[in-house]
Amino acid sequence: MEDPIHAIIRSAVTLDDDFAITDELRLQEIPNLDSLSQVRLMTEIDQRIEGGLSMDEILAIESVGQIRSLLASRGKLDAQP
Amino acid sequence: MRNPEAGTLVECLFQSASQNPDEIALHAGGQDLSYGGFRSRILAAVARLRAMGVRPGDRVLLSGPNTLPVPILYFAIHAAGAIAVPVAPDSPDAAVASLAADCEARLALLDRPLKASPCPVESASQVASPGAPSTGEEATTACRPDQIADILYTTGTTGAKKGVVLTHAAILAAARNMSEFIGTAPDDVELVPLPLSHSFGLGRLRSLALVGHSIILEPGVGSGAPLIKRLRDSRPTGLALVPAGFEILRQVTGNALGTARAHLRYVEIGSAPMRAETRQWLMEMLPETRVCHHYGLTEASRAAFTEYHADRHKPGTAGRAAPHVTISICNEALEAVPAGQPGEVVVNGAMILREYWKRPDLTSRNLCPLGLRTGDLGYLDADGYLFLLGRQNDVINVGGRKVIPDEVEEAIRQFAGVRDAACVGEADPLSGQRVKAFVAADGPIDLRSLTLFLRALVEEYKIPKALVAVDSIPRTSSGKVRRNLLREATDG
Repeated sequence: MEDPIHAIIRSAVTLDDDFAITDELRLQEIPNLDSLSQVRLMTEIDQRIEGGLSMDEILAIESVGQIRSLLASRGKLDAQP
Repeated sequence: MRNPEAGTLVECLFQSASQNPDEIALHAGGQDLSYGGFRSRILAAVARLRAMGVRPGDRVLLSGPNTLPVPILYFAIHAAGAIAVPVAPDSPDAAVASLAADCEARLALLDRPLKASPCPVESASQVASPGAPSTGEEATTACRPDQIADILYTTGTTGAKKGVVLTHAAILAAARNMSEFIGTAPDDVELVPLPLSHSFGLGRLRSLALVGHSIILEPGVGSGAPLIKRLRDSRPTGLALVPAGFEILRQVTGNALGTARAHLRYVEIGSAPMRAETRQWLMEMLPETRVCHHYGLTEASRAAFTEYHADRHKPGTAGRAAPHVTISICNEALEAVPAGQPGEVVVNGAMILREYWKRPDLTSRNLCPLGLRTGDLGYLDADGYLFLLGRQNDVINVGGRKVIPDEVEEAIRQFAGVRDAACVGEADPLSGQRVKAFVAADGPIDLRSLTLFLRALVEEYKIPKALVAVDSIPRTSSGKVRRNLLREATDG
């Protein structure tokens, strides 16, 4: 079963099958993640969190691991992949 | 405006450097560059370009992100008497190589390898780095108003890109016209998260050279939140952004833009129309800011302007002719028609192109006695306000970037199993439009596979975001795609 964080990212931007997503991966390192894809990504995350994302939380999301931590802290995900 | 008498933007820039060497011209990539430093870096780059064999009239392709090398090299190419050919940094290798071949580039300045390049490639960062300068006198005399400054490639009606040839006089005129309308002053600090390869962002850089203010270059809008943070941290007095950028800000950050009303004196918007509700929202967020939206083309930068607050009594207008510009509406015989009557929008002024690069057929077709034929349909009301009615061709506008369906269709047809394809624009709440593809194929085609295939052929924004499988593409007896039928099916 695919990692739910990876699924969120792949729903926002089309990636090669062999592109490895790790928690250490910074968002700016994700290929073709342009502004519109970033908005899709934030919207996907936002919809999973009751009350939505604050601007500070959006700014704090710089890596895949931080997406995971954020969702886990809101009780929406296990902290570990 | 500091230097109204200079004949070229490079001269303006060098005059600013002489008068105010310590004032900050650019902030990019975490670095500040003063006007004095800007001139020094430009002159050092001129020396390197000459050592590489670049001569007056040579075409030099330039591509890179919004960091210091691109503006330095843009003006260095001019100062060397050469011609700048800006290319978007996200263009695939094949597209860049094709443009380099078309303009017979002497050199390409990039910070990435370029497959199958028809010309030598040098590192933009290295050529723009600090070093021993050329002499100032030599640098400026190589650059005259009547010489070609830029070739900007833009989409053509049949998919092939066309090179828009602009002289130094034309780009200076464009900068003067826009600055006169917007009112940018030397003490302004402007935030520019736009690509410098496109007429809109490049125009802000040219405005910098003329006015002598400061620009903060940002890599882009991102998710919206980083731009809000930059607005809060830097408190700029100006902002340049496409409508899609404001849609992103509104969706992701709500009304956070409203805090910028305390410091934003002006906003320039361009490249695409603004949705009426977003226009209204922007006016509420920035009630005291001059919100200036331009209409123009690569061939005729900033031909018309509307200021949202002043023109609130003219909803839907593209504005009035910019300072020193005339707009006519013409019939098929290219005769001007009276106010209220629709026709083709024709613009004229010192800022329009000189010609299309190696395309005398296009040049003679698009330049008429009244000026440049834009291909847009519209009318002028009795007060001289322009209202646009659509394009004469099938251009799709994705967040301010133009897509010609033919180009994407040709690329799709190269995908295994595809017999035929057609593309139309589909409404998108963020980007205005997105590309929708209709594909006739021997078997099922999934959008993901097609996306990965197309990435090597076209820029990301041109890749369809919706795909419909059809048995066949509707065509006329002469073989033209009946896009109106596809659009009707799309619009419902």
